[in-house]
Formats: sequence, C-alpha cells, structure tokens
Amino acid sequence: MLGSQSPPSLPPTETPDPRDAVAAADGRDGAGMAELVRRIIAADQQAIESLYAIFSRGIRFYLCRQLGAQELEDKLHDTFLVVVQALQRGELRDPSKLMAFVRTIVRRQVAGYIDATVRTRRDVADLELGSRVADGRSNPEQNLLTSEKAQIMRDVLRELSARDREILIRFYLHEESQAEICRAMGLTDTQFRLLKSRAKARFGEMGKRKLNRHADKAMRKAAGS
Amino acid sequence: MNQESNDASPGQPVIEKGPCPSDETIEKFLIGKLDAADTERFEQHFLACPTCVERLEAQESFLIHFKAVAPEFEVRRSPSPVRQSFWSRAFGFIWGRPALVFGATLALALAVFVPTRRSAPEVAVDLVLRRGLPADDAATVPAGNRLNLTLDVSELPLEQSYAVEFISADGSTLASGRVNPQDGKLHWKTGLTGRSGLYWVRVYRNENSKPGELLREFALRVR
Repeated sequence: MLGSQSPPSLPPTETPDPRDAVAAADGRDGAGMAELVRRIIAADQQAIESLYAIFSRGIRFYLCRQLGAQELEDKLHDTFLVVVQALQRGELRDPSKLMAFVRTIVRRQVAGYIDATVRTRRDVADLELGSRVADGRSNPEQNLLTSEKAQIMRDVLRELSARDREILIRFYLHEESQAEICRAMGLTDTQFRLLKSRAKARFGEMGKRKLNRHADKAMRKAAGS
Repeated sequence: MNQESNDASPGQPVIEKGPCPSDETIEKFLIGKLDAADTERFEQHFLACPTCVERLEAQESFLIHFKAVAPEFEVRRSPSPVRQSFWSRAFGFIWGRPALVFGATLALALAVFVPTRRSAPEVAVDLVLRRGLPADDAATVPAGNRLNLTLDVSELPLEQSYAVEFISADGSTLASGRVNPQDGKLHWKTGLTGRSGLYWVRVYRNENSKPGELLREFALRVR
C-alpha cells in the first residue's frame, strides 16, 4: 500500500463491458495511452476499469500458462493491483511504453509466485514424492473437456494419412526442425505449413461442433424440464 | 495472419499494440522457438490483444492434446540393419571354426553382461516451466534417445553456475552435474538414455560445488 493513499478499488470479478466503462471518458477527452495513464494516476475509476478491460485477458492467459489455474483470479487481481499502484507511483515515465511496463510487472509477479512455490515445495519435498506438480484439472468439467478434446485429436489424426501423421509427429513430438523434415520427406515449406494449419483448423472446427452439440443438448434439456 | 489490431471496442481507449503476429509466430512462441527480442515484443502485444489471446489458447490446446494423443499413433522404427549384419557375419565366421567357439562364447558373454556405451541417438529437449498444468502436460520425448536438456532459467538470479539433478518418479537421482548458463539457458547433456516414465529435473543454487537452494523444477515424460 502507498503511504496514506488508499488502494484503488478493483472492478468486479467479471470483465466489465469496456463500452460502458469508457464511453463517457472517451467522449470527454479522446483517450490514448498517455491520457489513460494520466487518468489512472489521478485515480479515475473508469480509467482503471478500462485498463482492466484491455489487459485482463492477456494477463490471465500469461499467469495461467506460467502458474496454472489454481487461484488464478486472485493472482490476476493482485497482479493488476500491482500494475495500477506502480502507475500511480509514477514509475512509468513514457506512457507509450505502457505495454512493456505491464509486461515487466507481470513477469516480476510470476517470478515471485514461482519462488514462493519452490520454497514451499522444498520444505515438503521429501513427503510428496510423485505428486510434485499441482494438477491443473481442478474440477470434473475440466476433466471432461480435456478427455473430449483428446478424443477429437484422435479423430483428427485418424483422418490424416500415415505420412501426414508422421510429419506432424516428427515436428511436434520429436522436435525435428522444419528444414530437416522437408528434406527427409520431400516437402516444400508451403506444403509443410499448410499441413499444420489444416490439422489445427480441423481440430478447432471439430471442437466447435462438439461444443455446439453440447449447447443444443443443454438447451433441449432445459426446454424439456 | 498479420493485421492491424488497433481497432478497439467502441468507446475504448486506443492502445497502440502493433500488428498481430502470424500463426507461425504464435506457434514458435508456444514451443519456445522465438528469440528473446521477438518473445518480448509478442508478450507485450498479446497482453493487450484479446484476439491474439484467443489464437494462443486455440494453438496451445492443439499442441497439448497432440502431444498427449500422438504417441498412440507412433510407428516403432525397426532396428538398424547394419548392426544385424555385423553380428550375423561375426557369428557365421566363428561358428565354422571350432577352436574359436570358446573364445566367441566368452566374447558374447562379456558383450551381454559388461555394460557398454550404447550409441543411442541424441534428442534435444527444451524444458519450460509450466506450473499447475497436469503432469500429462510435461514435456514429452520418445524413449531410447540420449537426453540433452535446455532449461530456461532467465528469470532466476544470475549465477556463474547452477547444480542440476535428474530425478526419477521414486525420488532417485539418476544424474547430476554443474552447468554454466548461456543467454538465460542451461544446456545439459545428461548422458542418460530415456526410458519410459515421468522424471523431474531440478535446478539448484550452486554452493561450494554442492546443490544449495532449490530454484526450479521441471517435469519430463519419456514415452
């Protein structure tokens, strides 16, 4: 906390609609980055909500990737609070560097969380053999989603020819370089890239179809009851 | 897909994010193949670009599930014909000469029971810390390869060298060493040949040539 200043209050947990949060401010002073930073330093709540609307998705992704899904919302809020407080302390000299500034703070927060986890883990390491990495699948719904996606991936791979499968396995599992694979299998770079993007598109498409089927089923069930 | 991504929702302040990167760049970021400057630029971009976060999530999901499922489709490679040919020839030569049978039997016994350095192919593995994801999402390598690890230690306090250990699921230390960092990474040739299982790679502060404080731990699955 900063001296006698009370910490800025955070927006509610669900992502606020940026149009509601910022429309009035934008009408008043045509916000750009410098204006946004100026208003945050002045503890303008709408500006803080705009900042949250802009960065929360990216920060959430980064934190989840580095730290896992446990207590993600708390970590997101804490990290965002640190960003706002740092801005209000005037630590950003050049507002055009706002994104680099946010990145630096987020990385520092992640390093801090990892250090704390390692310290805790070291203390109980001898007792927790075999369970050293926290399971990110924290609920049955996520477990189901993961196993459904695994099945979708099996279906996608079965649709491919053995040769196309081998190309993808060499690249993603064996981590051979694109150049090595193209040379060994007689492919051009374009063919290689096309194969990858086709497989990814197919995976995404089948995933969406499955999701829509679930949504339809849920709607029919709700309508029936 | 390269596109200008400064279009904001109505009423939202304009943030100069720069153009969105291509799918290739996103993939390279996810598999750790972007250089430090591009990684920095891309991280700054996606922190403020929900479109790119969606693209990242989609690609990451593809990679995670591919690595989990693809081993089921792997075709085992047949043994090297050169090695079979050598042993076949050696056996044929000795069998026709009774005086050499004893010597050949002794040589065969030594070959079977004395550990020899196998010339297994080498595989380079990049280990990235990804806490909280299921152990199934550990970096995965095929069995039978010699393991050369690259550990990302860019966020650790800089030391002249770090102590490293390679540990099995039951806690036994299979290999250890001391490695000097280069550009925020530790390149460690473990000398081990991968056998199926889940393993842990630990990085310690190096204190008087012995492992000190535990700094990082990575999961590695060999299938």
